Amino acid sequence: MSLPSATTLNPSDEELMQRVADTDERAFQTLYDRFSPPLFALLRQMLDDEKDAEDVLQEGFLYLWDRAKNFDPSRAKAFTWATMIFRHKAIDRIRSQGRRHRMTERAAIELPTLLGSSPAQADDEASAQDHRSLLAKALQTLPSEQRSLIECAFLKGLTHHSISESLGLPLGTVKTNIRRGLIRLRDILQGGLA
Amino acid sequence: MTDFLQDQAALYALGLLDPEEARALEQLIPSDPTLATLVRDLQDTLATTTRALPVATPPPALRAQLLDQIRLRKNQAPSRPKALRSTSSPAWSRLAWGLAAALAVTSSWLYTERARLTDSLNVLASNEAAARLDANNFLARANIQQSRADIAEAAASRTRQEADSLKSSLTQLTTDLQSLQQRNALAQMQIATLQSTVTEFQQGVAVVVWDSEKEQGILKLEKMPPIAADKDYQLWVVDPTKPKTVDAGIVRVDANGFARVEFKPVVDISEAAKFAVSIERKGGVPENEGPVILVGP
Repeated sequence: MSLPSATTLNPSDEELMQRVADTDERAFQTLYDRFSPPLFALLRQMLDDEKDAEDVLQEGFLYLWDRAKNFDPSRAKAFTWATMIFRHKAIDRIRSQGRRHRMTERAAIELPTLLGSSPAQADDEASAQDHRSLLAKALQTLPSEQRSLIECAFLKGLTHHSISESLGLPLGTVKTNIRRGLIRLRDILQGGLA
Repeated sequence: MTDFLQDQAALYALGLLDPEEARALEQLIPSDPTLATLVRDLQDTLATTTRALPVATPPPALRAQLLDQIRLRKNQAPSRPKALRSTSSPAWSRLAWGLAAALAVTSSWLYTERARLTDSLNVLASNEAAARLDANNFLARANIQQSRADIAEAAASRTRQEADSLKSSLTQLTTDLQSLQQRNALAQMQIATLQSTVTEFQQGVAVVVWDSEKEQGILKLEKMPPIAADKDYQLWVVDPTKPKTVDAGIVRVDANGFARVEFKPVVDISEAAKFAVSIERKGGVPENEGPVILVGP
């Protein structure tokens, strides 16, 4: 009798997604337990409504169940793929409810969001705390205007056009700052969190 | 990679590009590994950023509800109805089979109807969401399309102006070139008028046009008097680098004393200093023998 391999005991996100594609319910449960906390946090930030966040979370996971066979590990990490899917669903919800205008106004006065979270709060796992602490530091190194714009776009689902309009900034400035901020964040994360 | 492309990659990672722009970028990605890497990195960065948010655990009921739905979907394939327990009575047997058949037909119809209604509901929900999305995006898209049309028109207009300007410059250059070529051609052309000291031939007109590059020329004679039947006019080129005059061929005039001949001396000419016409034996001679009646310039 052979011992189970490390992969069997602790499969990667990508392996789990591929097993979900084969309608493996247990893999789906594991994936849900891994992905749902950060994705639910993201949806609550984006939608600013507990019930909407729950609806979209459920909708998103059903989508993953149905479309897991479309996941290509050579093109994206499983969590990245899932994040993009859930964000799009949240943006669809925002748009379908015509909440853009209200959120645009709120976004202009409710910044920042990411750094507003304490790295120490609501998590028992030290490693997770360390991870969030590093992320918070990475975000802190960004110039405030770059961080704010990324938050507006990523967490509020606002388009560059509406950000430009809402904050009274030229469209080119918004695009440039988003791009510079994201690239800088990538460089920091690749260097510091790899 | 240009700043513009990096901007588009960042907006794409954020899901902010409109569908047309997103499609355009997606078409570029397979052929541009740098762009593909950038897009993937930025998407990873954003996904990682999600983990900086305060942890939020969804309600446990949601998980249970979701798993129920998953199981429902997994078992969505219709199961076969259980067979009725057999009985020894033929009447009961017929009734049982009749009921089973009716149940099967009804179940089948209900299943089909349920599937049809579910599909219709999904389509309606999808259409409704799409319609809402379209309504919200319509104005923005219209503005984008208008802006694109304006940009395209401006670009087309600029291109037309540049093309006209280039065409004009090309025409001017062509004219200049032709003029230069003409000047160059004329520069290498030499025109010589030949004069006579012999009274009999002073009425005659003799002009030589000499192309020094091609080392050939044209001789035109007019009003030349007739000469003896056993004689011919013969043209010579005087080249200072040669010890003797160079034969350029015989010239036969018509009854009016007119001739126009193209000539090429028998040897290479370095410099055509003078041209001369003499009267020689019929058919011409290799070296000048007879009297020179015309010379020039």
